[in-house]
Amino acid sequence: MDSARHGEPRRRTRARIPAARARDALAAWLFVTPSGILIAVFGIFPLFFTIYVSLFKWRLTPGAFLGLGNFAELFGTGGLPLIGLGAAIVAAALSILLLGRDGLPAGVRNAGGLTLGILSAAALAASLPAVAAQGDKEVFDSLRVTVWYALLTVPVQLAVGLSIALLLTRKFRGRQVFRVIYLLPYVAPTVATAAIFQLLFSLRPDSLANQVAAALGSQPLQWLQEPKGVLAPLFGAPPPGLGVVPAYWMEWVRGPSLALVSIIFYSWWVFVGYYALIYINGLSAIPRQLFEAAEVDGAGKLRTFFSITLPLLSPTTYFLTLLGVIGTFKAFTHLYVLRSAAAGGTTDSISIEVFFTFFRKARLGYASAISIVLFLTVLGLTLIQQRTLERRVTYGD
Amino acid sequence: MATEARPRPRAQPRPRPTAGRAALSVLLVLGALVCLMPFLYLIATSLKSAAETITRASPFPFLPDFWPSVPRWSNYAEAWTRASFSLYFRNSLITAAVTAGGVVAASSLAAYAFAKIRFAGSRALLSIFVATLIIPESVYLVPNFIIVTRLGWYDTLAGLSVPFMGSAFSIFLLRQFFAQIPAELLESARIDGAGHLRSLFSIVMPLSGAPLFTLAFLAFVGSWNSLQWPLVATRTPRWRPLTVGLTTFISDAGPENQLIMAGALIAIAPVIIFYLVAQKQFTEAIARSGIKG
Amino acid sequence: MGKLVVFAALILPFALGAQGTSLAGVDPAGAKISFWYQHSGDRDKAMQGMIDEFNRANPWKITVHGEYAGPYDQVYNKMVAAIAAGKPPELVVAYQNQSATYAGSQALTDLDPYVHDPTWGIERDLGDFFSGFLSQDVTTQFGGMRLGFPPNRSIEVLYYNASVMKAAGIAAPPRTWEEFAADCRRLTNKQADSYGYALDNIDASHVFAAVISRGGGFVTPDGRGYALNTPQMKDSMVFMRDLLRGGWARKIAKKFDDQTEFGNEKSAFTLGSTSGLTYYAAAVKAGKNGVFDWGIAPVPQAAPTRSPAIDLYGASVSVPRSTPQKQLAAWLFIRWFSEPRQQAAWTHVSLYFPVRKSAEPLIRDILRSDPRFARAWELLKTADLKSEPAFAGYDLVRDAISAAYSRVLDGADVDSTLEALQAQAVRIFRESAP
Repeated sequence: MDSARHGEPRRRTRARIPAARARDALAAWLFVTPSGILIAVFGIFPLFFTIYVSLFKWRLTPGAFLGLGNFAELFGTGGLPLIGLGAAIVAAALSILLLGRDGLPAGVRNAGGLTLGILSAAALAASLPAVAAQGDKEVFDSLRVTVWYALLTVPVQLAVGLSIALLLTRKFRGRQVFRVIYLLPYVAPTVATAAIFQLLFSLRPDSLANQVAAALGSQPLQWLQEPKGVLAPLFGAPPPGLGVVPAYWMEWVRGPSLALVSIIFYSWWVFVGYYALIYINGLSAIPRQLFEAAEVDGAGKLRTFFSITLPLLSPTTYFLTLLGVIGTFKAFTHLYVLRSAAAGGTTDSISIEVFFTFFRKARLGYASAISIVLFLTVLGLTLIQQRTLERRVTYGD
Repeated sequence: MATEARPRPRAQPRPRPTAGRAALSVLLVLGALVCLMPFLYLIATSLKSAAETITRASPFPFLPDFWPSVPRWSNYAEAWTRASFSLYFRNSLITAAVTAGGVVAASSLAAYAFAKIRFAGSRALLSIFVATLIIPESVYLVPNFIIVTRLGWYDTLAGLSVPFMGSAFSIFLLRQFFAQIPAELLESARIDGAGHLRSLFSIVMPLSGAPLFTLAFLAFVGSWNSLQWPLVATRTPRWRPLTVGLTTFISDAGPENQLIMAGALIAIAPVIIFYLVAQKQFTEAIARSGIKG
Repeated sequence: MGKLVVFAALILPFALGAQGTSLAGVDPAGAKISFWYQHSGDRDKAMQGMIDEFNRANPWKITVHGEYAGPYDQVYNKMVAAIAAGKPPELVVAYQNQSATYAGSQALTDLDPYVHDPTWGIERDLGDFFSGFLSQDVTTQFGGMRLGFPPNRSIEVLYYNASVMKAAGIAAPPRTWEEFAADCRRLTNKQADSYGYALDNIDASHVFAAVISRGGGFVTPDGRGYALNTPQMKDSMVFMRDLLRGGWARKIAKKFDDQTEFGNEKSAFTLGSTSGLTYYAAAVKAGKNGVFDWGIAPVPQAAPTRSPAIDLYGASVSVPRSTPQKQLAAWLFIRWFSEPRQQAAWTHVSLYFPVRKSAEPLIRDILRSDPRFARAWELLKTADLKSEPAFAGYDLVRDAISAAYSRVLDGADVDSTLEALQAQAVRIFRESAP
């Protein structure tokens, strides 16, 4: 809000005569109108249009009214799994609401929120296999791809980005050169750098990736064309005792495909420098005195890092996490360029799946339904992050 | 150790060569090499002949086989003419500049209103704007295309730029900044008879150089890199941007990797040059967009 | 009541023959239409030249505005958006499954009435078209609707390196898969890093070519659905898997890499379209060993035959729904383009096949100067031409076939993979059906 200089009399602003107020309001609405119209037409209208379209059988031109038919196709019509899924969502929503209730004592909030959260996760774990089986398997597969993508990119980019930022905040000659180099991948256009990576990670024995693999003692790999999960080759086949687990969770156990991992490598290459830059900025905002005081107190490097640096960087970390997760759901260009039919859909995140449903399958109605669900999912995740993570963010000193 | 009346804070711990520090430096250098390597590969491949892309395929820049035996500069000329890159550049440049200009103009107006004018419904309106930030891009594609076509903007500059001029993110960011400008400055202007528009242009905006540049920069880069939308919203090469042109060229060039790399280099080079020249502004703009807001 | 019957009796013939008579009243004069195609570079220029000629010479003063709208998939994406917005072009290039998708949204004109129309049709020329060319665009999914018309065609053939074969004592290209496997083994040379066959595991057309060469196909006998879990499919995939395992074939990294491998004399055989003849010639010339002796032959078959089963493909041109006037104008351009003179001109530039047999005298010079094209032409006339399914959603099935093929090549169990593939194809068929 307006940061009023303390002590300054604000008589003038208080005593606005109604006519001036009305003129103000008019000016305000006029000022807001250009952006307002643009956002309404190109941002909000599409959302409502999408909701409208999702209720119809709509290929490229309108067809029959389906009501929730498209959603039924997406989630299946079996009652029990849907109830389970519904319960999971309701529990998650209650958990969010509870955590947001500032009126309640912190203990009640946290305990309640946690319990509801666990219940929600359990209901999800129980119902998801059944829903995926009766609904659109491709969409649920793409959600799994998206989750793997998020899990393997965001934390790594945070950790490595922070490490590089720490190294690059010390003063040394040539520091600026390093900073420039690390940001290069982010600055270069995606279409072009993805094209380069396609060649670097090709399955030819003489490709860069395979020559490095050979140097590490491995056979040439198929990289972007390999649909098999990486967890088995890395950690051995899953123990047979897991046979009771539904096939749906077994697919998780196999892990992301090597094709997806190759794309994740690309993501690291592009974003680590960007995360580092944001962290450098965050680090520079921490007052020098804090570090010096800690040093005077005899705190070691590690202790300083965990007690001072990390907590004070939490706004930055929170921001990057939020950005990272939302970005995962939105990521498109490089997933599109690096896609190969041989990968068998194991690199198709939800955004690619939606795009294909719109275009290749030419099913606007169904694609709109998936988009709405996607929107609500991202909204939910954002709210969850806001209520859980932001609580732990230390603002200011 | 000299004692002093007050412990004078040291600017930086004096660097001591330790194994730990050496290891970290090595990692830093390795990381930088990893960042650079694909670009070196790009340059090397783009200068090879078609046969050499197969016969000379070492992945390590310090080995001779990584580089062409004789650089074929003609690859660039060939890629350039085959793909009308000059036209695509011009298109991307104009589209991005116009989009950035529109974003700054529209968002400044709205941000000023939200920050400096008290009016009914401002908080609700702002929340609605911000909510649009989460909407996935796929939701926009077809409806926006229908709107743009109905307006007659298919395959035009307007169709490529106007849909992006409404930026809730920009409004939000600017509003945070504008709100910090002391009310007194505007009050004195108001007393002198300046209206809101004058206040915005003569007082608020000159003080907001940094965030305005940041937004213009982000809008420019966002437009420059966009692929999905221009892919459907352009038909002819008339307004086709670089991203679409490059994608199309990659399809057409077929097996000729050296030409694909030449084309990619042509697409990357100006951005990199611009970045190297304006490093400071680039990094500041990107960093500032990450400030908690 | 009596009056009603008489009335109905009078109206009925007109109602039934409505398609034919309604065309007769349409006047295409002065129509302006836009044509989206995927030809780039030299072919783009040549097409523009031909369009200019049509615009100048046609007696109805029809103006065609042609534009290169990107490669096939970009043209398709743009068409989807354009149809959704109600503003498609009047003429567009489309593979049969793409036009089936457009037809599924009632966005396409049935070209059959135009073909058979007494005034504007080409009834008496139908026999001049190569058999199978015209039937490719007629689909069971839409009750016999003609989704498009062929502007040119090509076939899938075996490209072989004659020099390397001669050096190994192989006199002629393999006619059966057994001979093919044996030749691949003989031509694999670890020291020279050369091998028999550059395997494209992503192009489903190669799988189709292999399956039909063994007497199979992709659809059920009545042509109304997919049948992918067949013995021929299994044999095709297992055969290639064994070649791969023996090191006598190698996978390529991306599309057209097989061309590059061939041109650099690394692989002795590839599978490819005859429309790639000019590109192969360029690849051979640019190869590291310079020019060598090469040729094309029919895809190996299950047993030696005089009429090998060959994959016929090529996109057609389709006419989206607009006004009767513009639709007729588009058809007239198509008709003009299919005439022998124009077909011959187009063949000279692209080395696509003309769609009419009577174009042969006009391309005699190419037949004389290019032995490979001559061989391909001969094949066209003698082969048993088969084409891939024209169902909506077929390109999704192609993706599924590529994925299944890759899995089998990597060692997955063939039977379960093909079962899953068939189930997926059935599901895709159901979802994509109009």
